[in-house]
Amino acid sequence: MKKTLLISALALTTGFTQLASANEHAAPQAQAWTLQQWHQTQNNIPNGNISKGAELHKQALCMTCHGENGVAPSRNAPSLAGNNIDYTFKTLKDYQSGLRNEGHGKSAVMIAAAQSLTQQDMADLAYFYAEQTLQSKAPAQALSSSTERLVRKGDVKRMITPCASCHGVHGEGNEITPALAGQTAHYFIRTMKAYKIKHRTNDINQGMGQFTHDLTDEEIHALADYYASLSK
Amino acid sequence: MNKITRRDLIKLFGTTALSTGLMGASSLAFASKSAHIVIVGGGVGGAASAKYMRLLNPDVRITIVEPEPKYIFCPGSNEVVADFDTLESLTVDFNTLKSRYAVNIIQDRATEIDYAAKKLKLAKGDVLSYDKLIVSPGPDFKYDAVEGFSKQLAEGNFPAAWHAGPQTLVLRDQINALPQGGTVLITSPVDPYRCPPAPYERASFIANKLKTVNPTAKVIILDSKDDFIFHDVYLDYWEKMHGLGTPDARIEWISKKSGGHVTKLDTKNRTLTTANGQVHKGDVINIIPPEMAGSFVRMNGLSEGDWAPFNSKDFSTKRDKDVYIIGDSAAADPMPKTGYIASNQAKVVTKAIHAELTGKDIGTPFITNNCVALAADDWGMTVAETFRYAGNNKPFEESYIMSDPTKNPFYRHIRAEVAKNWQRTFRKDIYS
Amino acid sequence: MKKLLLLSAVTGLTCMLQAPASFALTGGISAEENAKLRAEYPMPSAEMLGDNCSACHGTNGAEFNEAMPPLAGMDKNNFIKLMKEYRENKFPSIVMHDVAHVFSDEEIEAMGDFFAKQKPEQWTRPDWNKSIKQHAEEHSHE
Ligand SMILES: Cc1cc2nc3c(=O)[nH]c(=O)nc-3n(C[C@H](O)[C@H](O)[C@H](O)COP(=O)(O)OP(=O)(O)OC[C@H]3O[C@@H](n4cnc5c(N)ncnc54)[C@H](O)[C@@H]3O)c2cc1C
Ligand code: HEC
Ligand code: HEC
Ligand code: HEC
Repeated sequence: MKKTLLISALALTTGFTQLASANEHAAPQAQAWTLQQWHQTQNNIPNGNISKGAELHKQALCMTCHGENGVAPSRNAPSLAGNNIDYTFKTLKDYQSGLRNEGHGKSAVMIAAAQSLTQQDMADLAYFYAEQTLQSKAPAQALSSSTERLVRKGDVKRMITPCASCHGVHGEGNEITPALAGQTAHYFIRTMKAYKIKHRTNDINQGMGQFTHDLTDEEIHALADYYASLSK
Repeated sequence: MNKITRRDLIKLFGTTALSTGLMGASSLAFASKSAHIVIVGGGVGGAASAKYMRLLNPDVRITIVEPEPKYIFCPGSNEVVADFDTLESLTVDFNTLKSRYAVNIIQDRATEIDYAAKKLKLAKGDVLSYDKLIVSPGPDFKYDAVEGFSKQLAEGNFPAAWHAGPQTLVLRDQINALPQGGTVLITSPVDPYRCPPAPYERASFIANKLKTVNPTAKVIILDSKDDFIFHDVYLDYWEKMHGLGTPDARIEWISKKSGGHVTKLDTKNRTLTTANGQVHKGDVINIIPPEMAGSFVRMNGLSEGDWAPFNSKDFSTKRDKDVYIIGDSAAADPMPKTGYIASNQAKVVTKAIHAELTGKDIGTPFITNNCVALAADDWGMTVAETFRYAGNNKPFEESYIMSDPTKNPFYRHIRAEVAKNWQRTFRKDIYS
Repeated sequence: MKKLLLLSAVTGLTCMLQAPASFALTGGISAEENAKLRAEYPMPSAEMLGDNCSACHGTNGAEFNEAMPPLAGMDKNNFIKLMKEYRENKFPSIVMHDVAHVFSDEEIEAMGDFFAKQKPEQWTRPDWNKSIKQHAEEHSHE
């Protein structure tokens, strides 16, 4: 996989400018973020153009997997609609650099999809997704007491901070903390397990990783169902 | 509760081959009246037949006859030639077919069919009785189409590498040892041959590699055709990446019209001579010979001309309705000779056999082919072909859509990744 | 594969309008001829159609952990909607327009039923030896 990145940097120099110009950030930067580096990048996120983002969503093939307006068509891909600009931007950068690479075909194809995105493209897409709304497809859930505790109170014994303290009381997220409301349950479970076994390590200071170590599969499934039932 | 004795087993399988490892799946306890499906070849077509037969029918006895202990996939072997994948990752064994799908594996070569007695003879002397025989032994190569070339040379210093294995590694090592500024000659055969885009994929991979390690070296494709699949995409790629059409081009394609058809190999001077008398010198010479049906097919009267004809409804041979032909040996034009096709033909044959055994109608066959080919690790292209049934004595009717040289980089990148994913899903669909 | 590559003006044009970035090369029999052949013979069974997808989407559509989405257990209506959108080339796709353009409504519905019935899980390891043994015992009259 790592080899792919090097070779694609070469291919980009042939310059297809119709959709994306050669990208100055295509070189591998698969090093973990420091908070400072992220803040610097965050401050320099270009202003996104929503209608360009909408067009790119189609032409760059994002739509065929992530659905119309970024609402996932099935259990396979995550929904992107309604997520926060900073989170989407950072995630696309992480795919481009290879920092986010869970080691299966699903992340490999995202790495490929991100290769020819410019900073401006990423911003256009991020602004576009942030503008969309995501209606829950799952029926409303009666929250079990143990899930509610994890979401609102956490679990001191296992050093689990309440999810809501970062992801918001309605799962709406904030800046680089992603929205979880309405997220595809299958994807939610897949990515939580990837954090748990350290296959997903692109989070700053491995913040998310820490909360997943001690969660059981049952807890992860219950959390996935709960968040899937929220709308944003 | 019935104990099965050795004598019962001999009765069941109608053979004395128990000692040769016939009982690979040791816990088999079949009803003695169940049909015996025997398969010649444990490659793509044969293995897919075994697995999909079992998915349909828990009763039948299934036996694969295959001389090799393992199977090495061809898709992905061009990557090995250019040294960015290994043969190990393309190699599968038959353990899952044995243990999960209760398939018997006999490590031997099938030699002769006794059509009247419905028996199959094997090289080591064993004889198997079959109710249905599925034949998928892959192609044989016409080495003598190029004067001076031979099987021995292919297994020596002039690898064809058109069946993944030792020759693939010899070719890889020769490319790695190519002198600075050296020349690689690749011949591309007349149609039909297995995997139509693969010679051009191979040429591209080699040129890509040379670009970094040996930038003044050159790849020349000497073609026995004037056109090939994905022609426009490959030419576009070669122009953009390897200066095709300029004096310093790293890759050159010489069509049949322009004198590309090779007739003669001179091993001493390492040259190839073409039909119009041109002589090309190569530091590495990779002759991809023209093909014909495997020798088992030709020796048993299953072929007419180079390939074996069949009834379109169920792929039973014209020679015998209980003997089926699939894969590269079949006269399946307009279907290309690909693994994808071989595996889908296997899915049709097994449905036909299952329908017949259970007294049902076979139904209308339907087959697709999807080729996901590469020019580079991040430059992919696809073709989707559909084959509709048009009558038992007629060839299937084809329609297709394929990639053109797109300006959209997302197509190329994402299709390239899908191609790599496909190699894995394809292997899993057949052997897991 | 027929060697004659026709750049179909019609398809090229419609593709351009909807998906300007790529218009593909098409060939072989026309959509009308395809429809004629479909009408002439009984529809292939759902398994016959659906098994053509498994080299990409997994055996019976099961999850193989790859980029190609699993189809097993997919909601039937959702499947039909997507397949028709691919067929009509509603938006650019990686391969699915090229795959879907030949299917009739009935064929799509049959495949939708077929995949909806499959278990949405990883390709598991059914122990066929065990089930065969069981089967043989049930059917043994000796
Ligand atoms: C470089 C290259 C790249 C390719 N890439 C692709 C690709 O990307 N996609 C694709 O779909 N296809 C690809 N192919 C083509 C694909 O490999 C073949 O079409 C496919 O393997 C054909 O299947 P088969 O069952 O007919 O033959 P094989 O897979 O070759 O299997 C035949 C088996 O039969 C055995 N056998 C032979 N004779 C006997 C006998 N007498 N008794 C018993 N066993 C016997 C052999 O040992 C062998 O294991 C590629 C081929 C090459 C060369
Ligand atoms: C082949 C299908 C496919 C295509 C094409 C595709 N994606 Fe994805 N994408 C996925 C899958 C599957 C995942 C989840 C990967 C995982 O499970 O690890 C994903 C993940 C993502 C994520 C992370 C979501 C999150 O919540 O963390 C973003 C952002 C994203 N894709 C954006 C895009 C954009 C933008 C494009 C177009 C340039 C695109 N994708 C093209 C399948 C695809
Ligand atoms: C300290 C703040 C914090 C807490 C507490 C927290 N998260 Fe997160 N979470 C984050 C951040 C930041 C990310 C994004 C990391 C990255 O960049 O990949 C994230 C990512 C995620 C993702 C991936 C979303 C996607 O679209 O890919 C999921 C799922 C998730 N968190 C669930 C939870 C759950 C469930 C809990 C409670 C058990 C929780 N988080 C607790 C900060 C937090
Ligand atoms: C060459 C590989 C390949 C083949 C063969 C293939 N598909 Fe696909 N399929 C894909 C890819 C890649 C996607 C992602 C969408 C795209 O193509 O743009 C997909 C997406 C889909 C989806 C959308 C699923 C989702 O969760 O979003 C459906 C439905 C589907 N395919 C059905 C089929 C059917 C039915 C067949 C067989 C007739 C088939 N596919 C054959 C590769 C393939």
